[in-house]
Amino acid sequence: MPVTEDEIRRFADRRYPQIVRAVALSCGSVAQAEDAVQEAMAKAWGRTVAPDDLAAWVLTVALNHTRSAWRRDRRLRSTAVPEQVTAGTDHARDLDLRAAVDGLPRRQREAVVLHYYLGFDVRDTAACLGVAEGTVKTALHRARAHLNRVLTPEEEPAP
Amino acid sequence: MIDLEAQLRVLAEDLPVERGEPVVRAVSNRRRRHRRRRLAAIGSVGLVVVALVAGVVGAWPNGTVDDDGVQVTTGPTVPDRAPGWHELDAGPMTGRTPAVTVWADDQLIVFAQDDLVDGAEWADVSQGFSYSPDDGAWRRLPEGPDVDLFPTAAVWTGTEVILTGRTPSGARSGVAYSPATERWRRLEVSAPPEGFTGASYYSDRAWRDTKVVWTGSEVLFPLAATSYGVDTGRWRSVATPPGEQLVNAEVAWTGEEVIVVGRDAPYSQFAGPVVGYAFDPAARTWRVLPPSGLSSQSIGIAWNGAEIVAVNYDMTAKAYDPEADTWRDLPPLPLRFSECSPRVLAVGATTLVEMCTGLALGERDLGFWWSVPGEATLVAAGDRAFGFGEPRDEAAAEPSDRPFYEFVPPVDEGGEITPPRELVVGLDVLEVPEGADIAGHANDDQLGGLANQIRFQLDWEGERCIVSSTYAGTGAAALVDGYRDLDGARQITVSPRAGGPDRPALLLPEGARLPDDEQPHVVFELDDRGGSDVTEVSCASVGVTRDLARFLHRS
Repeated sequence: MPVTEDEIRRFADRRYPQIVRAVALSCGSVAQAEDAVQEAMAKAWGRTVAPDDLAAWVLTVALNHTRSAWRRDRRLRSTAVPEQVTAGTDHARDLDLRAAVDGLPRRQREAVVLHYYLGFDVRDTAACLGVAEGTVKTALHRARAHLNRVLTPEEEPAP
Repeated sequence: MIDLEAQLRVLAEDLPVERGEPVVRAVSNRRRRHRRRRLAAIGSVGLVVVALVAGVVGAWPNGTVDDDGVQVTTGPTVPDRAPGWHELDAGPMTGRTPAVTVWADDQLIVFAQDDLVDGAEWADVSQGFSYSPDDGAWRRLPEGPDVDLFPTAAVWTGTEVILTGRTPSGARSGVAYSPATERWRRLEVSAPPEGFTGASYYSDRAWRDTKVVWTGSEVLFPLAATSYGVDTGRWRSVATPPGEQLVNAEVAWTGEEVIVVGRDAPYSQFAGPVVGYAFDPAARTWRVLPPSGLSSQSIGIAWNGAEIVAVNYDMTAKAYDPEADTWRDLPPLPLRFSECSPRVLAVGATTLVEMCTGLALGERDLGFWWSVPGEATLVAAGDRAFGFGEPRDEAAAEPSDRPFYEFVPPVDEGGEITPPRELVVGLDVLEVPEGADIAGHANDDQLGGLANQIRFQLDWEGERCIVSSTYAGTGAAALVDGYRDLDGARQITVSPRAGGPDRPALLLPEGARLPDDEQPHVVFELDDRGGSDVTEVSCASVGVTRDLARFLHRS
């Protein structure tokens, strides 16, 4: 059955924020993520998508949309304005993580967000990204290693 | 160890996101815009055409009617963006031969070939189709005006596809199609040339009418000294290029100038100097480029956003910088010589060179080439590439199915080269001491003159990993295909297909940073068509696939 207005409303209430946040973590911009997810929802509306698959369908189309947008306008990256933060605060730690995640190659970043934030297993992550499961495992392994290296505070040398 | 799940959750929940009714309203507005576009199509085409289309597409695979009544076929709804070739649903193009293709921002528009006229193809504007990679859907375009255009050339202006050609009387004419409104309009018909018989035109001039660029305001035919102004709706003459007998020339638009590179010699001769010219459409003047050093015969060129990349028949590659007005040498292509004309395309940050023996890819800086087998003739589509392969049944009397592909260049958004998935193989690692030789014996039938034993030698020189080949046959030896830095692990692809026997097969560039904890891997692709004969090597150890181990032991 085609996706109905009621399903779109339920999706907008329940799943939309989480999907937007996931896409935002992947592409680095909440505005761009909202644009992509709304575009994907508009495409899904009236299309035959199984209700259980709607979130995955929207997520995948939205991620594709952000990739296309990124390719169309590579200036998006350079226009990001770094925030001023105070070291040691929660906000600063968030931004450290944000910077570390942003510093990952795109495929690793998407795999991390899908797996660790959305809780996708490796198979679903691979299906969503259109890559082999082995590729996802490798991406996650390397991303974890990188994030651990970047985010784990160095121990003080023994006196 | 960091708690990634918890930290990501905190980070994500801090992002301000709306929900509920405002989102539904925004989505609804977007959907209304989509519907308006489709309704415009219905209004312009009419029910009769819809019925005809429905009849035609009845046999299409996965054909459906969406809620706006527009007939579509859908393939995979989510494109696989993994690097490499991806066969897609050919939709209504099944059984048709694509004659003209053009990328229109977000869709590939294809006009099928109608007939053969004097041995040359021409497109039939009633056989137009569009493919949208966003949803994998093919749509049939409304039928265009009844006009014969030969040879058919196409450009995308940002709002319209403009198809041009000559009528049977030799007059220039054309039609324009707007995907947004799904409407056609005719262009002005120019006065036919006096005494036009077609004889000399078809023998050596028609190709000039296919070399066309869109300059932002006009459709320019730099080799035919003609332009069509979209604002004025008029054809007009422009200055001819300085070369009097320019043949086998190719054109490319840099955003400011049209670059022309070709051979200045009579059409009947193969030899002659290769010349280059640039035309400034604003000043309406030509300038002469410095000598390129390219050899004569066929040349392919493309603008990669920074330089004109030119490749000629003998696979020499050069790059021209319009700002500096200089040519520079590029590494030789890692493809076998094939008596084949090169095609050069720019797709995003990747330059693609098509030869009959495969496809070579280079990043924008073009320090290395890297090769993959070719599957289809590609169409540059912005930062994507699509192509139709050869007919599945070339012996069929009627047009046979052609596979339709998207080719995803193995260059990700960061400009890094990533390998095709088929080269990422599971390893059955065989430890071999550093510096050991690996002997491979190429298939006689697949690699022709490479039926000799090839030895690869790996040596460290400081931070540089040098891979050399001892191949001493004629014509080809191991050569750099390229390198990549994927996810921090450096991997290099080497293919025994071209190059010289004396030089190192591979040098990592100076200053390349190698990961501290991981030796670089080298991928030897000993059989570029078999797919499984791949071995991974590093300077510290050698890993051999199980299949390749058998292959090697056989020799």
